[in-house]
Amino acid sequence: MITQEYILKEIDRFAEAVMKYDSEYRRKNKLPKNHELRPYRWCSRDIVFSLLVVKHERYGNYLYVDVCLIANPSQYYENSGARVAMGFLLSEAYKCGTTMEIVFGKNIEPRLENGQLKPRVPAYICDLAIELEVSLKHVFEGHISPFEARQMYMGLAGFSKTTQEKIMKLSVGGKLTPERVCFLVMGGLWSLPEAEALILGSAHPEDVLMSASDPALRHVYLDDLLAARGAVLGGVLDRKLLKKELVVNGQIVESEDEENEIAFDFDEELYAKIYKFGERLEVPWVGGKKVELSPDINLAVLVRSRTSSEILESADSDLEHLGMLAGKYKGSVVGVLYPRDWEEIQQTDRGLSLKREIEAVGAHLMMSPESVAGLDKEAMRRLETGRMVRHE
Amino acid sequence: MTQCCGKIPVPDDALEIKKSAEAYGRKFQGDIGESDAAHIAVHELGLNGEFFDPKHTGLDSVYRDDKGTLVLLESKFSLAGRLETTKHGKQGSVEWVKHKAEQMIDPTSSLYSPDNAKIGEEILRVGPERVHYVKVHRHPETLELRVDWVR
Repeated sequence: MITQEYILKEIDRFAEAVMKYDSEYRRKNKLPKNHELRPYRWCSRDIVFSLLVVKHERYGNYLYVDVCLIANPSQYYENSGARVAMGFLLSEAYKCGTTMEIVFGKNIEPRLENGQLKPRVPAYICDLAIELEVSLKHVFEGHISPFEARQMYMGLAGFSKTTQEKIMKLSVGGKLTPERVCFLVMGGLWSLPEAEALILGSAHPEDVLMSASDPALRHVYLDDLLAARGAVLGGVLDRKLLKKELVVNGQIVESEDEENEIAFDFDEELYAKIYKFGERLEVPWVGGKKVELSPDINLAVLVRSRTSSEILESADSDLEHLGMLAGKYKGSVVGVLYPRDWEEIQQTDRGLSLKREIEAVGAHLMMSPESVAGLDKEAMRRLETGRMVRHE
Repeated sequence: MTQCCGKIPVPDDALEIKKSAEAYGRKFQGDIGESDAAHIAVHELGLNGEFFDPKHTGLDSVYRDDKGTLVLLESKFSLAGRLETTKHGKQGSVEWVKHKAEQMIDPTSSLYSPDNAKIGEEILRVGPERVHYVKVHRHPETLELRVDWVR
């Protein structure tokens, strides 16, 4: 059982690890190796969620956790401390190149068994496993097996069932590991909706997520870049919708802590994003029109990351897909999202007629403030960053 | 949700954490609410205490009424004093009580203890819909008391 005494003793061990790190690395301006003990603290403002001391145990090739203190602040979601701690431990285990096995040290929530102190997997992590419907079989031996770790990682990343199935299919085919996809999402390289759009909406998601194509192989690389560009454009819209603008003294103030309540879905057949809202919002980027969304009205958006010439070339197919989308999601607000490159053609005859045709379908033309050049730059950065991440 | 950030702490961070852990323990405000609620449960509602280990995210306390029915008590010492909605339903709902009872009998869970397991087993045996759930809310500023028999 976790007692006040146990917590204070573990905080002392954590403080010791911090002092040791400070004298051996920080003061000497050195960085520790993965196999040396490193302390981490996870906080939000002044609320501590988790205190951890970890290292890569090279001989068993697992992640060794020497201190693991987890809080469950009542003002946050249930198991939030364990989510933070496990998110970090699993990502660290992947980054260090381990088998994903996690072993908890002898001082972690110990109990007396046959005259010996034995550790266990922390109880809050077990609560999280129950929530994620993952069965942990070695709780009282103090370790989480690679199979269990993989299941927890997938659960924590939050992929939909369809996406999980596709990831597993790619994994069975030896094209992509679930751990890498989870690491890319948990590490923030791709947001969850962006990764889902890539996995469900592109022909070769494994190439994009593995950053497998060499820019020298121009056509293959461009194919990946187009897929990544689409995901990035969708992500720009996600963030715009999530952002909550609070009005204080008549001025709009953005808050990093507050986000709009939105559920994301992805239509792989039409490459469209479907948003469900928990509150009232307005559709952004519709040229000053006021189009309201509410918990009863969803938003379905065709995401088309095209240059101006590509927009003209693909206009007929986009209109056809828009009609299909409106038919499929009756009662929803429907739109087509283009990058800022649309501006180049909006006053041309074809641009004006295309806008009329879009409105005739009952849809809205949405123009993102990002241009294709900007989207490509971001997509290339992500492909390059992905190249530096463990490849298995 | 607020952004949670991780970093390698400096010695001052570790000392600050230690200081506040020593001063406040794990749950300062909650403890006040719970001891207040225990007094009300016994002296005003006429309930009898059950052997129960209160954990951090489970039930606050467990009693029995004069008919022998379990009474789960939630104490609130906050301005709003509302029951939170979780992934397993609203606090006090049948689904939520069932989930907590299942956790109480699971030896791997943080809510498990031998005493809690007995209560969890009883809740599941009689059915979570057949136990009472009471919210005791004390407003921290006005100290006004409100007792709601949710079920």
